[in-house]
Amino acid sequence: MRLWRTLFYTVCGVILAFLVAPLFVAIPLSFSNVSYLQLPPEQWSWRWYQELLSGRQWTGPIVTSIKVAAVCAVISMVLGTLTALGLDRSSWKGKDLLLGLVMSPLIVPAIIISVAMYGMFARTGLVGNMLGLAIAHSVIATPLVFINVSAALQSFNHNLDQAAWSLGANPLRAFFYVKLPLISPGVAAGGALAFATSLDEVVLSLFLSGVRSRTLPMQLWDSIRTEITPIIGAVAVLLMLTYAVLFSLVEGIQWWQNRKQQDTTLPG
Amino acid sequence: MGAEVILKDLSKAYGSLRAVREVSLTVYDGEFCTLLGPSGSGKTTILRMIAGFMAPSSGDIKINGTSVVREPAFRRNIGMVFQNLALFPHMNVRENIAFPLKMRNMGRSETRKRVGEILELVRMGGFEARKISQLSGGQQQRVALARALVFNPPVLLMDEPLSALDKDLRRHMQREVKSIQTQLGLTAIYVTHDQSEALTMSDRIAIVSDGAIEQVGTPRDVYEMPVSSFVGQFVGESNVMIGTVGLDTTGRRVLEIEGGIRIAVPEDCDVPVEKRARMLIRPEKLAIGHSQSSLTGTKGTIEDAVYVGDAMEYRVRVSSGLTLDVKEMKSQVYKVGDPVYVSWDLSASRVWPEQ
Repeated sequence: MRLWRTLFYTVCGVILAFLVAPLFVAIPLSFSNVSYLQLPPEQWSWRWYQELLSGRQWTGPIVTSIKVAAVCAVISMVLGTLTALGLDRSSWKGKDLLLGLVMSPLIVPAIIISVAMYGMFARTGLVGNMLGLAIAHSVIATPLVFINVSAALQSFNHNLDQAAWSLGANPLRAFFYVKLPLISPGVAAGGALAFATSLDEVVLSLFLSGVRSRTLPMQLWDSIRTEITPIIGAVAVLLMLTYAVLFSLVEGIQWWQNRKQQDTTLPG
Repeated sequence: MGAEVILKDLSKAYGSLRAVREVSLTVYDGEFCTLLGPSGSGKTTILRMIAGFMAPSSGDIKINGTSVVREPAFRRNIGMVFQNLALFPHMNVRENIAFPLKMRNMGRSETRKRVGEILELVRMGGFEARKISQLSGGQQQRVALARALVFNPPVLLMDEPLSALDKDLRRHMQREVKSIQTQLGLTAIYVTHDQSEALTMSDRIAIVSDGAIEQVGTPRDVYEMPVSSFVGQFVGESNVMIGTVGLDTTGRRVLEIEGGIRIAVPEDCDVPVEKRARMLIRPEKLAIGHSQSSLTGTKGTIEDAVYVGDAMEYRVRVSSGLTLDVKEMKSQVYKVGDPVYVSWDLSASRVWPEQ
């Protein structure tokens, strides 16, 4: 038994290392002071980080990406939360159909969504601007918010709604004072995922962005195709840090949510 | 100050399932009225329709003469205590209790004053800043009650609010809820499946079965004079004897039960001869003796004897298929195996046709 277990962990460890280790190569690469990829670097420096954050070439796309991701997170949080609320405890016949429709962007290849959207956005003037990009990203990010909020609603005690009504709160006030505060961890976790998704998105962006709405992944893509310098490593490190922060946030939020929901149940 | 609540032909149907069937009931101003019934009898549905969480399929609800069926729950001004209390977990005690006042746009100093007063009333003064999760079951109960009362509703609805508490605390809270209700002169409508709770707290009890009201009356009425075998068996303990109505040698009507035993039936019994009937009699109405002491009775053997402090509880085997439970306050104690007579006053038993 023991042998098998050791073997099992070894195999898993090797596979994990094989998949994840290349990510960490970016770290030493980014601290090199020569303009080609060198591993390990002969001399360490902050050169590429300075370059990254000084010229417009990279800061522009970074700012664009953050703006687009933020707008996308907001749109997705609103749409995803409203959809989850609408479908929660509903016995409507078309529920499954709508559910499928909402979730379909997770299954349909991004390239197909891109082509479809390009056709429509071209007619409405949304191609080439940040808003259009944020809207497009929301299409694939909304299901993530929807899933998280639906999960939060599962453990919401629906008597609380009725309690609020009986105490004189109209449905809107009951929502803002009682339900929203209690499902907000789900909304926030969904928002963080939406932000991360938008930040990472490249296919839709290639189709729909213009000169003024170049995102970071696009800049990265172009940069890799034209000239490979350790600046790519620096970008990768920054992105990894961002994701680490975002996902710790999601974990933290989920932990917070579990604690909150525990409070909802009576002892004994 | 309370209000009169009138339910008129109130019905609720889910498709072909009729959860509540033409319920009519008047709850008087300041009265404590309990809807008592087994789970699934529709009592909670009635309460939810009064609260406004559910629209009746037909019928009307009037509070102080005004129909409220078209009013949404948040405009009915009715206090409600939920079975699981439904306290807001993200608010502390003060915020929970201040919530209905906030919804009524009450000023800060007035709110503070009222919250303080109501917490004193439920004996929770000083707990304002506590989180809900830091309170015991009984304390949460008091906060839920305070929150439902703080905006001075004329009507208070309670849906099995004490069911989560242990027995002693439940008894204690029953008295307290009742005393607060009397003190404030509220009209209270209380839902429970616990018959002893209903008997101790209520001015009147409405027995609900199968979506309809079987009987409305004071606790004494429903206990002493149940209108149906359902009520008799649901409220309090009862011995049940099922048999066929026949005539004895003197021409009196008797109930012939299994084992050839014949039991006299009360004069007012209206079940015709040769029909099946069900007889109910309370354990405390039965007497045990070495000989027959009252008008009617039967022989048996003590099968079980339990000392419960204030009384003895016996189980007497009358025939292979029938035992009678007897509760006696007398000091004479019978042992298991003793041959005895179980006798009772003819009028203490009640008989209904058996469906």
